[in-house]
Amino acid sequence: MSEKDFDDIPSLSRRTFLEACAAVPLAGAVIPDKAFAQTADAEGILGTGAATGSSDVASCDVLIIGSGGAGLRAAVYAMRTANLSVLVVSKTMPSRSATCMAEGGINGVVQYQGQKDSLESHAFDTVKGSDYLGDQDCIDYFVEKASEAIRETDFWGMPYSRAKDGRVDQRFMAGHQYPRTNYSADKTGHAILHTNFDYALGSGVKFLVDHQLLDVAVEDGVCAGAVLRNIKTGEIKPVRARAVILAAGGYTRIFWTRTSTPYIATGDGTAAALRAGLPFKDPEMLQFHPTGVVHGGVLITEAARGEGGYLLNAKGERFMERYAPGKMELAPRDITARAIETEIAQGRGIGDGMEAHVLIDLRHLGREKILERLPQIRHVGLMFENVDLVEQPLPIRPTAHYSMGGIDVIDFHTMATAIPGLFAAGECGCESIHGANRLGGNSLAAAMVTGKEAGIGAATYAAKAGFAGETALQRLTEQWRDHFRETTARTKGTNFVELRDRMAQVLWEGMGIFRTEKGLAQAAEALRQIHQEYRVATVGNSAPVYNTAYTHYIEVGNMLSLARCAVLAALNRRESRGAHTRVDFPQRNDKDFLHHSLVRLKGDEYVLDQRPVTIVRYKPEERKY
Amino acid sequence: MRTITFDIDRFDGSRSWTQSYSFEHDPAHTVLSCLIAIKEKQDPTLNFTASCRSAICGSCAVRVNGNAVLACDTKLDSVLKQWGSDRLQISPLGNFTVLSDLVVDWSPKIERLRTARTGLKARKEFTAETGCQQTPAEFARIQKQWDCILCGCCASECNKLTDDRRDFLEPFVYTHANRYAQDSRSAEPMLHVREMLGRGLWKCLHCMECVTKCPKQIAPAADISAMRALAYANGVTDGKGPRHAAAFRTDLENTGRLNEVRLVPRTEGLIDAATGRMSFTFRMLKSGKLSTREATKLYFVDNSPIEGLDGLRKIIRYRRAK
Repeated sequence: MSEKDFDDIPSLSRRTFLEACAAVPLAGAVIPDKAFAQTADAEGILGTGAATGSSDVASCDVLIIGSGGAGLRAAVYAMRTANLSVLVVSKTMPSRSATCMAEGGINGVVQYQGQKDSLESHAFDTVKGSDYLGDQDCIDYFVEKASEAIRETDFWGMPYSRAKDGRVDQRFMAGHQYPRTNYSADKTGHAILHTNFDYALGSGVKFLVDHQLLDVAVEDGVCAGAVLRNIKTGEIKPVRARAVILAAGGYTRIFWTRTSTPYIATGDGTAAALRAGLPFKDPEMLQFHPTGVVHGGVLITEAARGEGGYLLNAKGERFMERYAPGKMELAPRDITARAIETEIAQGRGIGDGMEAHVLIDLRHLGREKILERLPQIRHVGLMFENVDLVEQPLPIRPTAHYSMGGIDVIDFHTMATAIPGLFAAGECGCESIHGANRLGGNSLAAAMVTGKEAGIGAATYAAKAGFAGETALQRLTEQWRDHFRETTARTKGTNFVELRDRMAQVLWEGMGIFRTEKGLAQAAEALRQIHQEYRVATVGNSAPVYNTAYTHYIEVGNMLSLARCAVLAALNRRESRGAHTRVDFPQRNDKDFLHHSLVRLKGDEYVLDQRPVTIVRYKPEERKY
Repeated sequence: MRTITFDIDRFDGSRSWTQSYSFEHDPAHTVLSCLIAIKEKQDPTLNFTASCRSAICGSCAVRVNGNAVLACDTKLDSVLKQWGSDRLQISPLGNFTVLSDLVVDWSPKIERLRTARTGLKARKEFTAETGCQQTPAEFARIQKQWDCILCGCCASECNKLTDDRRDFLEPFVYTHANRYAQDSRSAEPMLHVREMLGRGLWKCLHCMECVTKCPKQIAPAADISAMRALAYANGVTDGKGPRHAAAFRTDLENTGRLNEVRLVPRTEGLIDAATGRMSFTFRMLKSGKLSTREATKLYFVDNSPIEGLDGLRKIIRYRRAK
């Protein structure tokens, strides 16, 4: 074969190029960008009229909100399952999600010679890790599918780190009895996200980027589609769909000023589901990582302590001696996080209020070891605190890390919710695999498993279902158009960014690592007031084109709503379980609280309900390691 | 008080202007935290994108004084020192369509990325049920290419794209194609290479801007070279690109000298070179960049072998044998 076939444009020599540069300013001519590929645009992707019997409303068969690991995998499987139009909507470019930040690995039992691990063992560890709040039938299904997902993503091109014999290599993670965490160096999340993105691209999945989910519409009890805002133009429009999958990620950003999660993890899908009438399950279950930088909460990974780093209080004491004399700094995450908060609460921290912190000290490891083994951690210290760990200890504090709670999924085989046609996957949904505490490596596995099941479930449903009516869709669209006009026109009121930071502080103080009846009640009241103020706050930008201030205003509204659910559930869970620590009820209480919290929105009120946990084989026992 | 000023290129969908924002110097700032502070304290209408702030999601690439960087991974002090000034120009990535201020349009780039035929098409002995086999050494060969975070820095200053983006792709697209072409699990590495051959694989100008700009130390230019070599090894030897490369090698093997006057006819054929390059040659002569005597000497006379040619030949033969 010949390269000549393609060679229709004369090649440039370096000199002609330089000549051209001299003649044309570098930022010069705008060249049309359509020579190699069609530009993806809503108008080109979405069907209209004929397909739905409506004249001007865009439509598709399966609409997926969110383009992280779960959303991308759902898209591939929705396309495989039936001959349907599938569209992935994202408020950003697809690869910006929280999935890419995961480092450690993805759990799944892979059979190989000499291996002692089993699906039962993975299931038991997950149940125990969840502090018995995970549903055991769901967990059994999950571990089986997680094992399949490892082999399948390998087949899709996932660059797994390998053992010498060529199989996927595994590492140990805390809380597991066997090494079953498959990984790709220290960038597993990044690798799995891009594996799925690449595979979705290759499978012909269509993307609608720079579009924000505003609401999910329900007509006669059935999902009718979604209202989207084209961030590029400001246009707010309805999209009809036979099925909608919400895979929009977690809501850990409610702790805005101290969380390891990305800026975009604002729970948009969960909030839309709540407004559509679905319960928000276990919203109080938010996992904290013990070590984040004090300003912003970016993670200092466990490797820092694993390599021998010290945790020091204001007096320079290695305070872990008081909490875990045997393991010292290597104690489990929750114990270490509580130890740090106790030091600060008892006045042995450095600084006050949101500035209060303890120190992580690596200096004794020596320059060479820090540079060789922990370059990334040193880099984070330099970036966020301007502290060089070679010379100085770094100010740290626990940071909000993962949301176990999410949209109530009632069928973990299909990821269906109580609204026909509406599905949820990934951190966005709660089936519940993680219960009150997620084990390391289970988040990526859950994204792969639930994404696939939701894709199949939604496509199977959509292949049989018709389009629901569009009255609700049109009504919501009008409401949001008014909302944009009215909200951005306001010139008097508090700046909403200030309210966001106040929300984060209220949550940290009232619903952080230590929770009490009084603190939670105060937080609930404070949030109610902030939410009121939010509704008359100023955005500061009324332009239609790429108005990121308005995008964020909606996100903050979503977070306020979700935070109020979380506080309500935390207030009523008068026990300590997993990530939820009540100082006034330090013991787990299976007699009264072996159930999921379900919070619904009724008008303007948040209403709490309960559902028992599904127990299959493992009777609840004390969680000890 | 030390004051820092950002001159930010603004665009609201129809109007472009430059707006200056001044703020107090703080050694703890990154370029991204400066942008956030400006947006939240001075001007909520300023638009940019950011997500993970840990240099792994690729959202926040912008140009500082014309050079693409990841805003979250760039300390303010380091760029102030680099440019020796407390005033910096912040602009959106080059070679992208600007949507607003520092926000660029990724939609067309996604479609261009699709042309690399991404996603593994695994060899027959592997199945989705059993997974694949790969040695640690084979994994290591593709590991670097998998570090790509699609931030767009490599495309921003790509001179070939700036000159004409109709017959060339963003460097990251070639890196994506190559990670499947080099994967030991791939059934047909040439599948990806062929797509790239038709989309500018031989048109890279070797300016190395992509290599110097990549915040993950990936070398897209090397991925382009690797796919060219793979194509050549698979018999795709016709066309200007392969002939140009072959002419380089012939020169090096014969004399160790790169004879640029001979290079053109060897690449394009004598007749094409004589007709197509005539006006260019004439302009060179006219502007004094080349003299007739020099050209004649180069073409006919200057072909003596360099010292150490044997060693060079050994390297070339060693590579060829591999």
